[in-house]
Amino acid sequence: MSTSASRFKVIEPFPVAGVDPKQTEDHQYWRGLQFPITIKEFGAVTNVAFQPTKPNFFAVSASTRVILYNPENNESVKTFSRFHDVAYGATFRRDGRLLVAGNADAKVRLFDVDGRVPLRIFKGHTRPVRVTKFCNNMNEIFSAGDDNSVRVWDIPTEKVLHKFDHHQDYVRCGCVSRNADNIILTGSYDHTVRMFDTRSDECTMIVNHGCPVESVLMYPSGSILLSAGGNRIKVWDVLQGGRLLATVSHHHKTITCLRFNHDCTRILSGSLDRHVKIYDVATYNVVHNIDYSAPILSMDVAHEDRTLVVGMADSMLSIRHRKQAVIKEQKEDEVLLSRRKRRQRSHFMGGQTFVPNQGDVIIHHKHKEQLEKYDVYFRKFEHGKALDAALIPQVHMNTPEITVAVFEELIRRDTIHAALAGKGEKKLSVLLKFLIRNITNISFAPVLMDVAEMVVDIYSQAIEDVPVSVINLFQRLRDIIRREGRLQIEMHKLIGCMDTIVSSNSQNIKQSDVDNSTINASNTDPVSLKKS
Amino acid sequence: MKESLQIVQTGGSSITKFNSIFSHDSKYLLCPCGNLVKVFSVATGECFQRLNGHCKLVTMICHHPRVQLQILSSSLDGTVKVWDYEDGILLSTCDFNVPLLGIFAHSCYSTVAFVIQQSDDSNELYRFTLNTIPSKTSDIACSLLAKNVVKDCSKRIAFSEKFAVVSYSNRLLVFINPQHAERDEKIRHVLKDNAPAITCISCHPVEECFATGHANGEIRIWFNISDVKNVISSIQHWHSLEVLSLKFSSSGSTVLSGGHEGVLVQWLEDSKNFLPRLGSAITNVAVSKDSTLFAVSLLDNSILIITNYFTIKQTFDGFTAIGQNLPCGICYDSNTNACVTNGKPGHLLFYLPDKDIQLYNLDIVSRNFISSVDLEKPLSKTNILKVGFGGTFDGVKHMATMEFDQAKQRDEKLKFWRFSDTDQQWVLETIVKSPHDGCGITSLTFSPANNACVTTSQAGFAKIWFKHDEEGWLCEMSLSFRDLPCNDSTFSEDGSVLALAFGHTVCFCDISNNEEMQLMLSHSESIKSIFFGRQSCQHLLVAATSEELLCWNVMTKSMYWSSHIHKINFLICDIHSENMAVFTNSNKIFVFQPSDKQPHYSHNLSIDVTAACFVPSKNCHIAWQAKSELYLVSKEMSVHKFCVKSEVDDASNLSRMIIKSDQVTPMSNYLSSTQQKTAKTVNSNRLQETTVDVSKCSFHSSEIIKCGKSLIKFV
Repeated sequence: MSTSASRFKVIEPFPVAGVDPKQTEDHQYWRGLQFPITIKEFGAVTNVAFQPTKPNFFAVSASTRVILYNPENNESVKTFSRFHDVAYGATFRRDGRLLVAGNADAKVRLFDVDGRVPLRIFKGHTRPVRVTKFCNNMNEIFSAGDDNSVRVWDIPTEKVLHKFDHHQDYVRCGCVSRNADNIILTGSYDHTVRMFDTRSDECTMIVNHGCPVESVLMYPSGSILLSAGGNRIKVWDVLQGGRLLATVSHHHKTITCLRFNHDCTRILSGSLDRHVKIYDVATYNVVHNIDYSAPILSMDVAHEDRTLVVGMADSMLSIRHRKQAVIKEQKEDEVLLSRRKRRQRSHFMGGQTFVPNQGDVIIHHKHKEQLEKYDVYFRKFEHGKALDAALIPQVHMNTPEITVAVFEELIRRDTIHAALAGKGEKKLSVLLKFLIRNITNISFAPVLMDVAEMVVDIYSQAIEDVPVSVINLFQRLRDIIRREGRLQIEMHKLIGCMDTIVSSNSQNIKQSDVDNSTINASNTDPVSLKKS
Repeated sequence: MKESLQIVQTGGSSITKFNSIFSHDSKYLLCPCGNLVKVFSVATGECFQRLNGHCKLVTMICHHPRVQLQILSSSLDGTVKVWDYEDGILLSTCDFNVPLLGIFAHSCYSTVAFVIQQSDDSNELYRFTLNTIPSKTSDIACSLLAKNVVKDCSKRIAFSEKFAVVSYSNRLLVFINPQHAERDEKIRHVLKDNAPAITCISCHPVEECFATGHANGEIRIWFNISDVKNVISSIQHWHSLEVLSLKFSSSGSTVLSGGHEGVLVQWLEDSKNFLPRLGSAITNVAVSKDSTLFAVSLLDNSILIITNYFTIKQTFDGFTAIGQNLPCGICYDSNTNACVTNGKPGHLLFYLPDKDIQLYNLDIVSRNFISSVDLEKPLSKTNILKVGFGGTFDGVKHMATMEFDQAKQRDEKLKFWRFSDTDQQWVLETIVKSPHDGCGITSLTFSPANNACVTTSQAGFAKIWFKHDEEGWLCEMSLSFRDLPCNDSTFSEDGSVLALAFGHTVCFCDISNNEEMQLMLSHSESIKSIFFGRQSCQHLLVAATSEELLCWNVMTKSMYWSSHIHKINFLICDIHSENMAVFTNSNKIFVFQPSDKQPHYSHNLSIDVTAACFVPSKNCHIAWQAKSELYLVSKEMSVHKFCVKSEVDDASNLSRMIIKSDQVTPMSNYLSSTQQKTAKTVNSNRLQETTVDVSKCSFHSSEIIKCGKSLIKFV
C-alpha cells in the first residue's frame, strides 16, 4: 500500500463496447488447427477419404486419378492412375486395406492399397459412377451414379447382388448404416433420400429433402439421418418413419459435404460459399466456422480430429493439422500470461528451477517494472513521442484500443494539441490512416472524432504545405465521415419506423397507462455515435 | 421529554493544512488536525495520542525550546498551550485573546517564543517570554517584531541559531539575535522588481544562510546575509511551478523541496535526487532531527514518511481533503462496517467514523496525478460521482462506481467490483464505457434481492444491469418515460418493486418479471429523490421535491401526508431502522419516520452539511438513534455526530487513548486490534464462569473458558 504511491499507472486499453466473441471450448478446440497446407491437384477435388487404420493415409479423388497422401508429411504416397476418365468417390474399407473408386467411364475399380493395378473392375453401370462405398460385411460394395441406379456388388465374384432403380435422377451421395449390415442410404437429385434394405430388395423409406441432395449421413446408432442439399441440412428420425426433426440453414450456398467429427458429437458441413461450419449435435447450433478460399466440394476428418482435409473446386487441397496435445497446453498457458509477463518470464527463466540450500540467505531480485514504450514516454512527459510510439504498426494495427487510450490520456493531460502538431508527412499519413480505419468504430468514435477535429484544425492553417498524398487522405476521411453520417440518418429513420410499429402494437395489445415506455433488450443503443 | 442534543466533532479535518513536526526521537509525528493535535506513531502508522483542548483550529505546533517532550501549540482561539505529547497532558495555557496564526521557538532561544497574532488589518509577529509557571493573566509581556506578515506565515518565517528571517513576497527581513532584537534592529533585503515572489523559506541550521522558494519554481540560496549591500544569492531552478515547501536537512547538507508537481527533490552539493509521483502537490516537508526521515504533507490530505534512501516508509491518510464536495455522498458498507466517500482524487475512502480511522483509499479511476502546466487552468479530474453496494449473493459482495470527468464531459465509466475473500480486496469485474452517453448520472442503486443494479440519468434512461457469470455485468433493460429526466431510483426493502422518479412522476416496475412499468404517482413539481420506507414502513414511499416532502402509500396508491419544507438539500434513509433525515440548504435537519408526519427530531445546525449517513451502532444514548447513529460531514470535511449534552466531553475526548503501549513490533498493529477483542471475551467469560458455578452444568462451556484463559495468557 505504501509503496504504491509512486508506482506509475500504465495506460489501460480503451474499453470496447460489446462483448468479446465468446471464447468457447469449441473455438479453442477448432482453432487448434494450424495454418493450412495447400496442394494443387489436377482437377476439382470431388472426394477425400481417410484410411480408418494406420497409417491413416487419405485418398483424394481429383481428375483422372486417386492419390494417397501421408498426413504426417503431407506428401503423396501413391497414385492410382488406371482410370480412363474422371475418378470419383474413392473410399477405404473398414480394415484400411482395400480402396474402391468410381469412374466417369461407368466402371467401379477396386484396389489394394499396397498395389497399383485394380484387383476387380465392376462393370454394369451405364453412366458415370459417383458413389462407391464398402458395405459393413467387408465382402460387398455398393455404387451409385448418374444412371439413377444403386447396385450392390459381391467383391469375390464381381457380380451384382442387388439393384435398386427407385431414384429418378442422378444419385450423388450414399452411406451405409454402421450398425446394420443391410441398410443403404442414398441421396439423389430427385430431392429424395431413400433407404434400401438388401434383405427385402425394397426401398423401405423415402424422405423428401426439397432440393437436390448432395450429401447424406447417418448416426452410428442408425436412428437419425441427416441430408444436405441446397443451403440447408435436414435431420430425420428414421425410427419414426422419416419424421423431420430439424432444419438447419447457416450456409448461403449449396452444401456439398457433411461429416461427423471423430466421436460424432459435432457435424461439419462444407459448402460452395467457402465455409466449413461446425455444429453441435445436441442443439444444431453453429459452434465454429472455418473459412476457405474457394468453394468446397469435399471434406474429411481424421481420427481424433487430428487433420481436416478439404477439397475445393479450384482444384486445391487444403490440409490442416491439429497441434500436438502437449504443445496445446503450453499454448493455453501462454495465453493466460500477458504479453508483458511473458517477456519478463523469458528474461528470468534462468533461476527459476534453482533450489536453495538450507541456510542460504535468499535475496529476491527486484524485478524492474517493464513498461511499454508509450508508457515510458508518458512517464517522462514526452507526449509527442508517446503518440508516435502508439502509432507504430505493431500497436495501432493489433491493438487499436491502446492507441485510442493514448489519445484519451493526451486529451486528459491537455497536451493533445502539442502532440498532434508538427508531424511530418509520414507520421501524419499514419495518423490519418488510423483515423480512417477506426473512426467509424462505435467504441472509438467519440474520442477519434475529437482527435480528427483537432488534426483538421491544426493542419488546415498550413494546408498549402501539406503534401498531396496527405490531402488525399484528408479527403478520404471526409468521405468516410460523410458516409457514416448518411448511414446514421438512415438508421435514425429506421428506428423511427420501428418505434411507431412497436408503440402502435403495444397500444393495440393493452391500453396501458404507460405511453412511451420502450424496453430495449440491447445493451447499447446502436445509434449513439456522435455526428460531426 | 426531549433531550437537548448538540453536535460534536468526532473526526475528519485536514492533517496537512498546517506544518507537522517530528518528535525529537523521530518516533512520532505530530500534526495539527482541526482542534486537535494528533500524535502518530511512525512505526505503526496508528494515531497514538490526541491532544485535545483547543476550541478552535490549531494553527501551528513547535517544540518547547527547553523541554524535550513538550510542544507548544497555537490556535485561533487565542491561546498557546504547552503539552506533554507522550502522555497527552495539557501542562499550561497562555491566553493572548487574539487569534494566533503561528508559533515559533528554537532551542537556542530557551526563554522566548514567537507568535503571530491576527489583528484586523495585519498579522504581527510578537516575541514573548516563556514562563515555566502557567500564566493566568492575559497580560503577557510581548514585543512587536514585524508587521503585515503574509498569511501563510508558517512557511514565511524561519529561525536559525543566530538569526530569524521573515519573508514578504518581494523582501526579506533578517533579525540577528532575535531573542532580544528590537523592531528596528533588522536588515532589509529587497528583491529586484522583476524577481519572482517568494513563497517559502528555510534557514540553514548552523550556517548563516537561508533558502527561498519562488513562485516561478526557482530556489535561491542566500549567503552573507548580515551585509545589506553585498548579499550573495545563487539560483537553482528545477521546479516548473511554484515551490510550495522547502526545508534544510537538520545537518544542513541538503535541501528538500516540493511543489505542485508532486515530486520531492533533494538538492545535494552538485546533484539532485527525485522521488516522483507522490500523488498530489507537496505542501509541507518536515525533517526529523537525525535527518533519517522526512515527512511530506500532500494536498490530498495524506502524509508520507520517507526514509533518506527515498523509499516510502509509512503513510498517514487523513479524511477527504478540503475543497471536494463529495459528489458520491457518504454511504455505509456493511462488509467493512465503514463509511465510504470520495477520498483522494479518483479514490474511494473507507472510513470508520466511530473510531476516526481511515481504513484505506481504493483507487477507482487509476490515473497518474498530473500537475497542470498553468495553475490558473487546473486539469480536469475524473471524479467518482456515485458508489453503491450490493447485498451478498453466492458469497460474493459487489460494488459499483460511476466516474465522470465533468469539466470535459468525457471519460464516463461504470465499474463493477467484487470483493475477493481470498485476496481481501476489491477486484474489478466489468467496465462499461459511457453507459449514459455522458448525460449526467443521477443515481446508482443495487437491488437487495438479486444481483441487479439500476443506474439513472438526466437523459431520461434508467438502465438495469444484471450479472452474468461469463460476460460480467450487462444491461438487460433500459426504461424511459416521456423523455423526462430520471432523477432517482429506489428498491423496496424486499427488492420486489423498483421505483423510478421520472421528472414529476414516480413509476414502479418489477425487474425480475420483466413487466411493463406502471405509472403510479405524480406531483406538480419535479421529484428530486425518493426512498422506500423500511421495516414497518415498507409500504410507504417518501419523495422530496425542492420545497416539499411527500409520503405515499404504495398499497392504496394514495398520498399519506405531505409537508412543506423550505429548500430541501438532500434526503437520506437509514436502512437499519425506519428513520429518514432531510437536510435543508439553511442547515436544518429533520429526522422523521415515514409513518408519522411530525418529525421526532429537528435541529438548526451550526455547520454546512455536505453529506450525512446513518451508521449502525448499539451504544448510542439517544432514543431515535437506538439502532444507528447519524454522522454528518461538513463543508470543511470534518465529521460530526449528535450527542447528549452531558456526554459532550466524553465524546469529544473520544477514544482518547486508543493504544497505550507503544510497541513498535510489526505485530503491534495486529495485537492492538486483537487486544480489544480479547478484552471483550474476558468479560463474557467471567459471566459464564458465574453461571457455570451456579448451575454446574455444561461441560462444554467450561472447556471454552479454559480455552479462553489460555488465549488470554498467550496474549
